[in-house]
Amino acid sequence: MIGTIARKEILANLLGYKFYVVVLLAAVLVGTSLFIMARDYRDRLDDYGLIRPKPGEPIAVNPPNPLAIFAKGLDESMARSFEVGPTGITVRAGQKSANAVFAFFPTPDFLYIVRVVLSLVALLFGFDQVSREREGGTLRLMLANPASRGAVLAGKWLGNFVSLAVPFMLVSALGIAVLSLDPAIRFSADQALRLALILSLTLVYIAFFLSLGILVSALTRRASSSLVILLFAWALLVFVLPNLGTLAARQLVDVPSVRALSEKRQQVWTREVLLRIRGEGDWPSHIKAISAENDALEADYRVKFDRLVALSKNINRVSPVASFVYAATEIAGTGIGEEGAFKREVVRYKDGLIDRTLASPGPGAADTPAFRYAYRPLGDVLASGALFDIAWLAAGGILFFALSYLAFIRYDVR
Amino acid sequence: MIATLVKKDFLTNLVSPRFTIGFVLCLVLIPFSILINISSFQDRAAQYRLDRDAAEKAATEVRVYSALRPEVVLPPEPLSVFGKGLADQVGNRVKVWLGDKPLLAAGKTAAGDNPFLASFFSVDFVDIAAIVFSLLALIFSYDAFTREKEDGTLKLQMANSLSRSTALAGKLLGIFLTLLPILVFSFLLSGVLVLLSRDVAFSTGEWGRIALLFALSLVYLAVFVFIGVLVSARSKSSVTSLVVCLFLWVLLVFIVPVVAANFAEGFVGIASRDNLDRVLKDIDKERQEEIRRAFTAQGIPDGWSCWWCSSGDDGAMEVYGGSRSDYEGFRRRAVISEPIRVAYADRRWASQKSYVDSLYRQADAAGALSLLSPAGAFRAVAAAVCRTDLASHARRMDRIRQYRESFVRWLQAKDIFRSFAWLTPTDPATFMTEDQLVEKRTGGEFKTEAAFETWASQQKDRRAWWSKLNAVKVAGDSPEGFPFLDISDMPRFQDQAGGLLSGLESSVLKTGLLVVAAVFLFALGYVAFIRYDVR
Repeated sequence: MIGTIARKEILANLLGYKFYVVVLLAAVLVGTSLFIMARDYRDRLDDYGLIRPKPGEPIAVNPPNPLAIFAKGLDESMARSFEVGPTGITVRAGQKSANAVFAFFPTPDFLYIVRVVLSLVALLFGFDQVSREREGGTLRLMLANPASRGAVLAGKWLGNFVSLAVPFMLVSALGIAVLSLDPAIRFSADQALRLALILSLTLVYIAFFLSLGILVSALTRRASSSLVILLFAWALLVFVLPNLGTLAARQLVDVPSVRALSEKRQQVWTREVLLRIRGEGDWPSHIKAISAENDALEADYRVKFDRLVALSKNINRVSPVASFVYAATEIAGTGIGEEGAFKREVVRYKDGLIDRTLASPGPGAADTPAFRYAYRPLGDVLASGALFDIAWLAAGGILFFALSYLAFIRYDVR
Repeated sequence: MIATLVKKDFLTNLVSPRFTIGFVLCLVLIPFSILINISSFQDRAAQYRLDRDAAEKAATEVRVYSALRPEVVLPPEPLSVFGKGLADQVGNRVKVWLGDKPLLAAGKTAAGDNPFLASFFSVDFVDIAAIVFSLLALIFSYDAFTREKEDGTLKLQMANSLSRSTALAGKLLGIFLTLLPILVFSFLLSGVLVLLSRDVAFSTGEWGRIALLFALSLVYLAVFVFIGVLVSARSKSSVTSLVVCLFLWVLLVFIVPVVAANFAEGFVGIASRDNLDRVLKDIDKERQEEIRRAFTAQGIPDGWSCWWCSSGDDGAMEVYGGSRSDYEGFRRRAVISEPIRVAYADRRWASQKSYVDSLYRQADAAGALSLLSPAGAFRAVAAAVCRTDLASHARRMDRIRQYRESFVRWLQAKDIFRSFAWLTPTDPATFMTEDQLVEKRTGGEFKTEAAFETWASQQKDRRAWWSKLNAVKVAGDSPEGFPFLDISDMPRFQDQAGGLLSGLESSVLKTGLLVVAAVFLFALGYVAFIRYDVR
């Protein structure tokens, strides 16, 4: 029975104009986004080719991540050049000189398209599932057959999910295929796996919004009032709630500014140099002290910053949309967690270099080890929050579907 | 007849839940954004006061003209409470140098501070207005004809002696009449919040600009009402009309501006900052070379020594306790080097200008592309009205550069490079010869410089020189005791706010574009409605 209803839904969708508008829109947007982001990635790759350190230079630079084409996240900040010196780490400007007089806009990456447009599209598929058939009078005809309400609802959900997910996956697969023709863009096996995971996460995201659409549809009598309610819910879930946590957390957790931090570093440096001039201790011990103190400052800042991030993330997770963004960026290796791990790795690299230099002073620059950052393995990423985010998104979808079943069995189909 | 129609539509809308939802939405979002921006304005105002006092202290507490480098600290723009624009992107402090023209403002910017915190979008009144007002306009207009057609009232209505133009006019006026209270209420609420806050004070001109913003919002609202009416007149059912309207809304408000900005970023490149720094370094090297050559031509030695002096960037040089010939030597150096330094600022500027022009070109390209969407045009004009757009920033930087010129002219009018006041506050009348200085410092032990040198050359421990020379403290050997410079006649930077309409020249065209779009959409809607099948 579910199969019959699902097939009917798919056929009805294929006959309607909505389906074609959506497919066209998805194709245009995904295509534009991949085009812009692939260009951006190639530019950054060229820049990386220019600034990548020669062997022996104490500079840590991470190449841009090809998955940033899909989820840009913090890749720009992770691909900066970190120069290790005796007083600490100097962060060079980005690989791409930024335009200071340019108003800030979000990046139109794949994630943005999915987050903003695909959620709306899923709602548009779901909003009239119950009310339209009631208005058309076909709902009572359908239920006059030996079809349970659960089967009708499940069939509708399945049919619409398939007619939404299949074209979207096809468009995305086509986009990825065109991307992979570009010799500059190479995905490793691990990255391909991560990409597949992000795409399946997208399906969970679509399912979440489709269930929400069906729920509101089962709660309202008219299709247009259902759409108006869904629109406000969409704006709340996609735009308002995912930013509320950051605003709230910034009021609650006090993080020192970067300027204060660099002034403090300068103080440490001056103090140690003055001590040395007065003849107390030897250079290696002072350099060690500067390095240790800077690390302590950095660690203290990092603790506070991590607390801010954790708090804002947890508040933002009220909206599963935020969970989706966190999970997708972490899986792509451009999330906040990955950035923290990267920064810690840079500090470890610096400590290693300083220990080496102090152990064997002199012109030993040639054997300076090169910096290499290994992204956290997928298992670690999933364990450290991404799995929870995925589960939370899926649970939200299941909850909405269960509630819509509850609403539908009480629905007056006449 | 038309009044009846308007009244009917107004009342129908008033009792509908969308009016309540729209009102509540504005009631929640607008105070929220205004309060956040008032608090951010207060932060910036506090930072401004600190920076200004520090700059004032640094400028007034100098004893010689060579160390005088005023710093311009720009006050935060009160109108940024409504539209932030670039306020967070660009800095607020500009130091005025002799050898360099101000390029971009330095100072605390949100973008440079912390990438994580800056990556969250900051909402302001203009953003909320662009999103919510357009949505409200569409929500009230998408079913202008379809709803009545579905209910069957449209054919009853048209059965009266009523022209379609009158019906359309009544409909539109009814929609505007419903939206107007929401708009007025949003602006009034924001105005009250601004009046209640202690730190933000608007002048009459600034209230006038808020009125302009209100007028602009009306035009923006009209564009979206006409879009809704047009779609409604082209659709058979409300649901279809709503779906199409929503797609257009997402496309025009969210997708087009973002894609336009990123397209411009991708296709209009900017000059590299590193490259500029390299070129500037080369120019600086040339300048040093030219100064050195001029010194050689004049027979001035490369090195210098002094009793107490402090040299700094940009030719700053403060000298105390020298002999007449020492002072004369420094003065001769400054007479040659400082005009060259000032002249090289123009050479540096040529490269700097091409860099900053490339930044402006990219931003302008993004601005031009975003005109494809009414929301982009609205944001651009609103930023200009709030004086936080790129052109306002460019004008402000131009004024600071003019200020630098007037500062340099002020120095030149005093013929200060030729004056000893450039280097030292010591009165030239009290300058002594080397011999006199040595005699005074050593308490009369050595009568001439030569005698001291002879003695000194026999000493092994250099510390002995110092104890001899410090035997008697000579007045004017160090900055202590000298007053700060009197710079009451120094030109000060004045940031004129300009008149009500100043700086809005380019916005006229953009507003005109919105008006033309509105008229065009209205005409299309009219044509669609006279062809509409009301059955």
